[in-house]
Amino acid sequence: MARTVTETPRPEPRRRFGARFLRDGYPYFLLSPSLLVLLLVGVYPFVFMIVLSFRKLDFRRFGTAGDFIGLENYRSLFDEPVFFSSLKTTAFIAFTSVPLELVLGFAMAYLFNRNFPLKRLAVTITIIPTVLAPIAIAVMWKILLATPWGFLMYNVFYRLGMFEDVSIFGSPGWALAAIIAIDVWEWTPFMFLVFMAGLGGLPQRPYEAAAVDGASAWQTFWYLTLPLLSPFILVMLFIRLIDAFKIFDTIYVLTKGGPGVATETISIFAYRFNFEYWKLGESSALAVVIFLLFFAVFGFLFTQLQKRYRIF
Amino acid sequence: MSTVPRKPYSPRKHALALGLSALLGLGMAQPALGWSVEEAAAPYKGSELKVGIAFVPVMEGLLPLMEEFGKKTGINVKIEQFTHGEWDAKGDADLYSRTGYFDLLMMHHNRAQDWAGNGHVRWINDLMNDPKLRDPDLDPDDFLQPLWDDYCLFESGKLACYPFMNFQMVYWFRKDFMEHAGERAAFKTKYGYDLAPAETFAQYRDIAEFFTRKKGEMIAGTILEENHYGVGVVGKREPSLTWEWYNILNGWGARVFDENGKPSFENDKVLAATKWWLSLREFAPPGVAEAGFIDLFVLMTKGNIAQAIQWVDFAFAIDVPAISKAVGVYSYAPVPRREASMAPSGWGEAEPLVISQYSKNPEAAYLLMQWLASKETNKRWLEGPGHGLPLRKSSLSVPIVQEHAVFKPLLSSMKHGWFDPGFTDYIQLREEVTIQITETAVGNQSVEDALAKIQARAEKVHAQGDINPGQPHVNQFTR
Repeated sequence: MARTVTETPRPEPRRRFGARFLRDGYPYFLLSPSLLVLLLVGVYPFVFMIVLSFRKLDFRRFGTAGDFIGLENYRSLFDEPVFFSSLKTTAFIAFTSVPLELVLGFAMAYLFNRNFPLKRLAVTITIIPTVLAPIAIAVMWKILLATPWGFLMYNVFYRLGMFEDVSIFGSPGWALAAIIAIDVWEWTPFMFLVFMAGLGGLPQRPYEAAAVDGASAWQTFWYLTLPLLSPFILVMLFIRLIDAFKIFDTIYVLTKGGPGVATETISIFAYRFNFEYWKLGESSALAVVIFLLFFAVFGFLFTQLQKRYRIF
Repeated sequence: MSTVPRKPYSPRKHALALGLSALLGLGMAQPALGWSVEEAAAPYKGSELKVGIAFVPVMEGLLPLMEEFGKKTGINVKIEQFTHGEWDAKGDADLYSRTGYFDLLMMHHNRAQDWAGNGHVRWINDLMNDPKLRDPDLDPDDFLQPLWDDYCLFESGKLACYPFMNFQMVYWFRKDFMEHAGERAAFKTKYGYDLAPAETFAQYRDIAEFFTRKKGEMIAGTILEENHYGVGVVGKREPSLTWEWYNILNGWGARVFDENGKPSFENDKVLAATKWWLSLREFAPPGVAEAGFIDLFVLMTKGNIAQAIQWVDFAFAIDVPAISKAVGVYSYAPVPRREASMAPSGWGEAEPLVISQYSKNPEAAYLLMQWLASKETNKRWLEGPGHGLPLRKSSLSVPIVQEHAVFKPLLSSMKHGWFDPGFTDYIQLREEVTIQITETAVGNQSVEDALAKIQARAEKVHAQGDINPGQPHVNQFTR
């Protein structure tokens, strides 16, 4: 009878700690400087801010965290009538300007997505608003639109008989419209640039196939271009919405949140509390509330983008 | 008896002895006779002083004098200038974080309690009493009141500063219109009294109405190339809105703090004054709602505003041909009031320089502060390019003060004027005033509603009876 030899698998030799570290821990070790910086400048201040939001802190007097007062800062914040109106104003500006920027930026990119003379120069000029500092943009538009001495106002609009009895930055409706228009002017080129890149990177084969099948320009746009660009569109919407909620410079220079509270956004409100009133406890509570709101809204959007479109 | 033989008398030796004695005597008297800033600053030569200031037009004349101090003393003076709003935030941040970046800071009175009352400002009594530092010619009694009492002096005799600026708001009017025979005749026909700079608010309104004209109409013999407005007012949501409002309230005899220093915004006089003031916008340029005091000045340089309440230092800038079309046409008078028999007054702000509690060079900072407030420097500032502001009684004899029309109303404005309260959290009240006034101006609410909200905010933030705690002067809102 033949003997069968069954080979018992040799146990793996025990890896030494160093080898285990090299295999499993080394990537984290390399990441640790960045993580440390993130902890120091991101996580620690954030946690400290949450702590401050429960304390009575008057920087003018104490300079350090004061007594624990529970939810008093939050109550004080919600008692401020301007808090809720500023949230509304911020949402209105963001949800009006961003879709406009998206549509205009996309339209411009679509138009530019071909060769024509001096295309490079045209693109360079088009993106100028986006590369200017927001404060410079605000001052520029004040010089153009101030009533009654603004350059555009005096030399163009008045001569056309427009805005003669209207103060653009002094009327609630016009001031808000002007802020939105300036924001659209500033950020449409950014959308344009990203969509240009997106359009330039689209695969050609589907278009060739569509041409062979006799698809019209509109059908090509609707059934091919838009779906292929949808990840870009959604990401840009996401990024710009976050940014638009933080709008500050333009409003601070042009209206300081006025007239009344017509253009007071949450950033202007936070600035007042923090740097004019020095109420750091209430400001911290405000920052926590804004964070939670953002987390709820944009967290939801983020998960949707991940699940449905496999973005991020 | 032995005697020491007498030496014969020598006139030469006698003269030498006398001369040596005189020199010795002079040397001992040197501190009293020969104090100089150069000598006083000798121990601090080579040190650096950082000065934080809100930019104002009259700084143009003061900056060279500050540089001269640096050259004389060897102390390196670095001046950083900001807009008023920026400066408040910078000054707050520097003091509250105790960095000591600035040695000297310009202090708005609304920061008096926050800065000086909370120990962020170094009192200067000991420096003032140091014979090595004190200028024998300082003469504090020579300072114009209420600059000393209201801005520099705190409780128990603590001194925070010397006067540095002296801003007052006065009434500006187009003197060429007032002097034009045709305009005078037409005004008299319409209103029944002679055209003259307004002394009362009723006259102020009549003048505003009279000089509001459309493009193409005549004014003082000239055809208007654009619309002309009878009055300039501020309307932007910013601090200058409160200054103008307080000017009107003061002239109306309206009080917003009672005799006990408690808020009292909801009263008939405040209501009437506010309604009257807002009604003036009918005769103001369309951009009033977005105009702060600087925007108002820009509008005035265009030459199409007949009158306004403005700061005295702009009176020097309005006559600069490079920036103004309204050169030489404005003159100045005390701010109008409800009745001519009432004392004229105006809004003021002295913006003194204070030494930071965290400064590492307080002695050098003191020397600069003292030098800027000296009789000689004040006179030179007034006489120099861009002119200056009088801080002392002795400066009132300087020719420019005697000749320029703005100084007389400046002095009368100081007598009964108001300035920002110095209590903690006043800024919240100020913001509330600007929000509610601008909300009312655009028609979103009534004046009554606005005053109710302002009163509620005032009660919330002002728990004390003293609107300028820590300072010994009379509550200027009630005097």
